[in-house]
Amino acid sequence: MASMPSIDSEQAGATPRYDFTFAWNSAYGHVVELVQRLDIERGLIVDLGCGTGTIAQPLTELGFEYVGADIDPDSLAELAGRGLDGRYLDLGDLEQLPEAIRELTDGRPVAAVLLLDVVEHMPETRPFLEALRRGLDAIDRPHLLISVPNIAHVDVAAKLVFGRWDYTPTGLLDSTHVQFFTADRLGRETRACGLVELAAHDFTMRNSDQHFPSEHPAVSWASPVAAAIRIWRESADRHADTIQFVRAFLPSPRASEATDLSVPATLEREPGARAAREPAVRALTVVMRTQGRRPTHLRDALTCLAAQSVENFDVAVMLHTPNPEETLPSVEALVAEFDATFSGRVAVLPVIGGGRARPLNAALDRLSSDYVAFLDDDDVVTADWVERFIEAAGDGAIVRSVAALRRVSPSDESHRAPFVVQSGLEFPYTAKFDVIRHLFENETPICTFAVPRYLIETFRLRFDEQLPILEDWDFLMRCVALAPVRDTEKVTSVYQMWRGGESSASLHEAEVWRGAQRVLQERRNAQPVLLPAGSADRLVKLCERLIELEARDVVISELEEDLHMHGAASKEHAEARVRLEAEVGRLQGELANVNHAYAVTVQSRRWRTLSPLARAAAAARDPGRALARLLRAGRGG
Amino acid sequence: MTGERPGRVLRVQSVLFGHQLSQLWRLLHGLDAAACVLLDSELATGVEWAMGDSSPGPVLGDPDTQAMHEATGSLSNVTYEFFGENLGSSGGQNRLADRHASDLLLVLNPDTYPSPTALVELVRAVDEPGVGIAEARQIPLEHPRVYDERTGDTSWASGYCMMLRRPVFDQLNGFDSATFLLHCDDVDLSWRARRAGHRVVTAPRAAVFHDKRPTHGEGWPAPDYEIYHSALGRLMLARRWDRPDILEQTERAIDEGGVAMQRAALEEFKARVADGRVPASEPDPAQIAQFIDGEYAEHRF
Repeated sequence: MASMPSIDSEQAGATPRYDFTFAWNSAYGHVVELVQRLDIERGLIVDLGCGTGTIAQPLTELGFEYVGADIDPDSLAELAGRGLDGRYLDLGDLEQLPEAIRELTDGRPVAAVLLLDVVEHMPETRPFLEALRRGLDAIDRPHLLISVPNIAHVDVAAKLVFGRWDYTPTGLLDSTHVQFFTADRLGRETRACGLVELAAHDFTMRNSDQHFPSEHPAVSWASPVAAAIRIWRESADRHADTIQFVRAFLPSPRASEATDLSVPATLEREPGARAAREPAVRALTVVMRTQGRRPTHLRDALTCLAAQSVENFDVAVMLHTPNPEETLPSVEALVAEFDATFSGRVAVLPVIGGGRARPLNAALDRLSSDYVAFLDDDDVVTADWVERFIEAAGDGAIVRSVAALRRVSPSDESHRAPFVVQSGLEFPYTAKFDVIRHLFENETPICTFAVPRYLIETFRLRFDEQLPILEDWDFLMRCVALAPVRDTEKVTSVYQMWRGGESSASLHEAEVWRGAQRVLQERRNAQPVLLPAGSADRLVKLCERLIELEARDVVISELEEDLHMHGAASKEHAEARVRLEAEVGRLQGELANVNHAYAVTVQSRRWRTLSPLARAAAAARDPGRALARLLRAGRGG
Repeated sequence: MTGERPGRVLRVQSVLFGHQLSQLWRLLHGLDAAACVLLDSELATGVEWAMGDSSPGPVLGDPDTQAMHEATGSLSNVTYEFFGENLGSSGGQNRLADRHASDLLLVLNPDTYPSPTALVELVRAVDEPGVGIAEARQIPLEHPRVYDERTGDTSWASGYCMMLRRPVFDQLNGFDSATFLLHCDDVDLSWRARRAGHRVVTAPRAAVFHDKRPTHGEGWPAPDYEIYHSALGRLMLARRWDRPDILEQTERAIDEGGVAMQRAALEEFKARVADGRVPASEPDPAQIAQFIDGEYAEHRF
């Protein structure tokens, strides 16, 4: 900007560097629209670092008076030539700045002060904004509109991944910029100076001026790398496509409302970071979802938590109910039954409205512990459930344990009595996380993983409230696309599969399950999938197996033909036929299985037709336990 | 307090063997809350907790016991006794019961945590007509034994958490600790109670957490001592309850495929038979004893 001496010698000369014409579809247009939207009382607009006053005309047409201030004489001459009031101002003279701002007004009431494309040129942001703030105080604290480029536009981010940082005469990487801003930093700096944000009207463009060279994989539309970077960038905040932050502020009445400057700027609001004055957070928060209608199950689940081998966790019982005044007292009373060493760590929080995921998201909105895990009120856990999570936590990893599965049925319609367990433990889920298998089906029930708060806050991860079911699978897969998974390989929970009665499995027909699966699959299919090292080998083996079985299919066809030709004329032939038919059946089954797995892995469309429950394992008992059963112990068996 | 049950005291007994202090504190917290609910119900006027230690060295010191006693709000007393010898769970329970009178007795493993309503539900269960023993429902891993969903009647009650009316315990002379050191003592006690005309029931509303940790794909593998004592217990049960067919079947199974601990148990059994250190076989005309598919009751799964 002309307020600061240009460092670009090529641009030095008679033509002002920022000689933009006004366009509504630009950051300047957004500034004017924001002025209109705020319905600011008419008065003087003070345009600091005004350059050639591009924005003056639309503002004066709206009825505002205009005064521009700049250090560049050419710009001021240009202004004067158009009959606009332009004054000399050195924004770098911070000591004089408050008084200089006051003098610009000539005592007239000020509607707003504009600071467009200025802050990024100032060597020290915080001192500059503090001086500006003093200037605003001197003129009765009018609105302040700031426009500043977003250094974290996806184009800049993607190119930097490949080592490119392309300065340009103007734009996002203007070579005269000395400070760079993300949405988070702009918020921090302005808050620190007691500027309260009133409104935002950011200017966005999918293709920024940094979208070059178009053949580069960082920006090429067809590049899977660019697609992946965009997905990750978009998951971090809403500003992947923001070119310019256009924000309106009001100075807070008292300077004391500014953020305490003793908190380092790098710590303030940094996800996962803790200011020194905060009390120590717990290692884990357990989010328990309940409707409060099954007190026996809820008491069982809470008993399991009270019996944990460690205590540095708390519990958020998310009471999802349309009538909290009815159910809240009974749930609170149930929690109060427990010893204070446990009940003191339990908060009951009513959640009204929304679907199954609403209470989970309500809990994520208020996290304070390092990790979060989830437990529904009809699932139970072992004493080391929390301990295993905490042991393996750290380094931003998602921690995964294993669930056993058993089948239960309600003992009565009211669900007030305990369920009746109908099966022994089954172990259908693999001990180690396998992302390829998880594309096919969820082997990580909601009670078996813990997610770092840092990940949740950094990427604003939430459960999809539009999904009627499978919201946990969807959430997990979005988490594991961003963070490593650390397996405890320990069985620490029991997932209850309901037989009849009220449960997600019984309430939703198979069609709903298939529909939700279809949505998830299509969602994943629209994005590149990042697989961990070693996955190529697994995919190759799947393909090899498929080819092998396809070859067997040819043999099967020949055998079938053989059978047909020989008929069953003799006993020998009949026996051979039985053997051959058995072999054909076996091989066809095997082929079908592998075809199925292959299709799931690499041909997603066929996946849609599969039943979600088809692969429920049925290894209820280890056959080798016959003798052990014969000799089973009595006590505590 | 109702007029019908003046001064009714529940004595909770736990036998320790190398348990961690944290486990005992955990249990104290659970018991304290459950005792509070029980006292509020007025089904009992006092609850006390007695620990007996069969470990080689004391698990608790006097300050620990004192701290526990001071930490509780609902237990009238917390006591600890170091046995100085391994009495086993059954011998330890008998020893603890011998020294103190009470109206109700709760045999409780130290690696448990009763839900807040567990005690009151167990008392309600033993207050039902004819009931001598009531057991809790284990969480998170429930025992597969069948019980009548309406009455709760079952073949036997597990000793990890069983409540007895004290007269029943006294009538049966407690556990047969000479025959059953660690395992099947509860099965035997339950069957003797039923033979004496008492009902044995499961109280599904009384949930008690039992710290068992399954292993992936295997359930929960038994340690050596459990394999040994469960085999020996089974042989002893078959002997007492006059089931030569089960004895023969068990011996054959061990001979043909038993592991070392089971073979050792069989040797011990034979030695005891030779020495006359086995219980006399008692006829079981009412067919109280159930030996079903390797279990001592019909199982749901």
